[in-house]
Amino acid sequence: MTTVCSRLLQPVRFLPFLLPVSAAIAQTDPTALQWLQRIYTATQTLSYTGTFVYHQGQQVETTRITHIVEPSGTRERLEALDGVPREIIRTGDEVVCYLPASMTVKIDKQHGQQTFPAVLPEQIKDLSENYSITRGEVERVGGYRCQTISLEPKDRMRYGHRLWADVNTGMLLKAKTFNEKHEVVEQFAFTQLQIGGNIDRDRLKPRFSRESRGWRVEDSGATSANLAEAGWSLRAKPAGFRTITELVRTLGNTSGVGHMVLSDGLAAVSVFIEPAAGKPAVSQTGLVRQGATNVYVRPVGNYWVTVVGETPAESVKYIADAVEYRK
Amino acid sequence: MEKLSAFVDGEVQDGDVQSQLARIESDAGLRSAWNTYHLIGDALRGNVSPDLTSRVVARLRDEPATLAPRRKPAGLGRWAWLAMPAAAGVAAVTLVVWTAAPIWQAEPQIASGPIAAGGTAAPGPVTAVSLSAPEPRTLASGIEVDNYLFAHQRYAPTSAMQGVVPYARTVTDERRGVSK
Repeated sequence: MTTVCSRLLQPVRFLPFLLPVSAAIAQTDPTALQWLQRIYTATQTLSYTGTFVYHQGQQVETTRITHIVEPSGTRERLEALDGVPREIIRTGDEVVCYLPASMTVKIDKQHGQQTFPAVLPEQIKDLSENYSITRGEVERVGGYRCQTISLEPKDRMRYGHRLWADVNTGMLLKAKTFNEKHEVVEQFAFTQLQIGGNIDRDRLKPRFSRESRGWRVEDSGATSANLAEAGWSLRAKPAGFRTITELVRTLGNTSGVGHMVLSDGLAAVSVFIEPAAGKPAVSQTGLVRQGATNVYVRPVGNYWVTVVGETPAESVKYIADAVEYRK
Repeated sequence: MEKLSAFVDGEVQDGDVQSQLARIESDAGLRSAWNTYHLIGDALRGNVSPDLTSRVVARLRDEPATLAPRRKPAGLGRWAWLAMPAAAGVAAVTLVVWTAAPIWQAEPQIASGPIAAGGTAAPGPVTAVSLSAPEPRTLASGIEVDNYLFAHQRYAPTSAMQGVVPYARTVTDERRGVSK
């Protein structure tokens, strides 16, 4: 699997990215911002079905997706095609994940929250404060002609992105995430896709709905909360990041976990705060990474602070270190 | 190496124990790997001390009973968290790559100390070791990494552009629970 991944990365394609000059002089192009807007709109209005490949770190996974927009809302189904069958069903604002290996059903529904997704395109204009956004060539992906858009970060607190959007519909068909060395840390690309037309509703049916009846159910029970009132705050935030939501939720079997989300309009970072049984050991502070996702844990008083984000390690550590408790 | 890994994990057949021990005793490479595997295991459990090498040697010589295959403890996974104590003596093991399972890596630069403004913090030597860790990976808090990921995906950078696509990250991980 790992060799397939590295072979598919095709370094030649990124040569323009390796030229520091192009990044230094690149200014945000207003038409590139319009393209981002088109991508957001396409996600919310198009129905499609297809197969995409996801690479993160050294992992490659093939997933089938069906996304149907109806007057009653959006319904979506993701089905893992490699390994043990797993699936995710999204109905409006509720996401249900069926994990047969552990016989678990995870439910994430945000009570009193704006509809999915929470990172909204109002922030698109602000993006140019943190990224140089430019339009590139038109390239073909999965048989579709795609406009390429580059987002070069202006500092080391966020990753760079390259997006491929269908020229006709604006749908995002391919995306790559780059670290500060311009190495691809994560990417996804459709290999087969049908946009619009007649899409069989049966493709949305959960495969595990019947057999999952005896499975363990983990419901996030997420509700809006004021973590500042509870004494939690951030001393500092990386440039351009704002707190977009604060919740209390259940994680696994642990209830009452504080969840704060920061975003720069594109990248998002979650801060989780959960009570520890006894005083946590400082020696258990540390960071793990998978693809573009970094996770940093540190104890604060009698709590664990866990920061998860598709941002560089520096960024999640910076945010974790800024978490403080005052009561 | 794969056999050794299984042995460290307490997953070899009882009859193989003696032959594995003999191999480890006679092969310097295996001995070193054995040492490293245990160092990592100890690091994961947060029990690292600088005199680990001598402890492992002492264990090999004096406490064969501790080398008997262990049954997996019920409940929490053994690889709870990669502890990163500040002690210089353990800086050598800062990068662990899980192969049977999702590819989570400890970050050496971050792990070995605070980030210097100029990025000059010199990371310790990095030893990459493959471990088969079929159990769910839990963080120090006792909560599986996947739970955090699942909760976070709604806000993932491209979820506004890709809908539910980023959730592929979370379902990706489940296979480790059964494959070996």
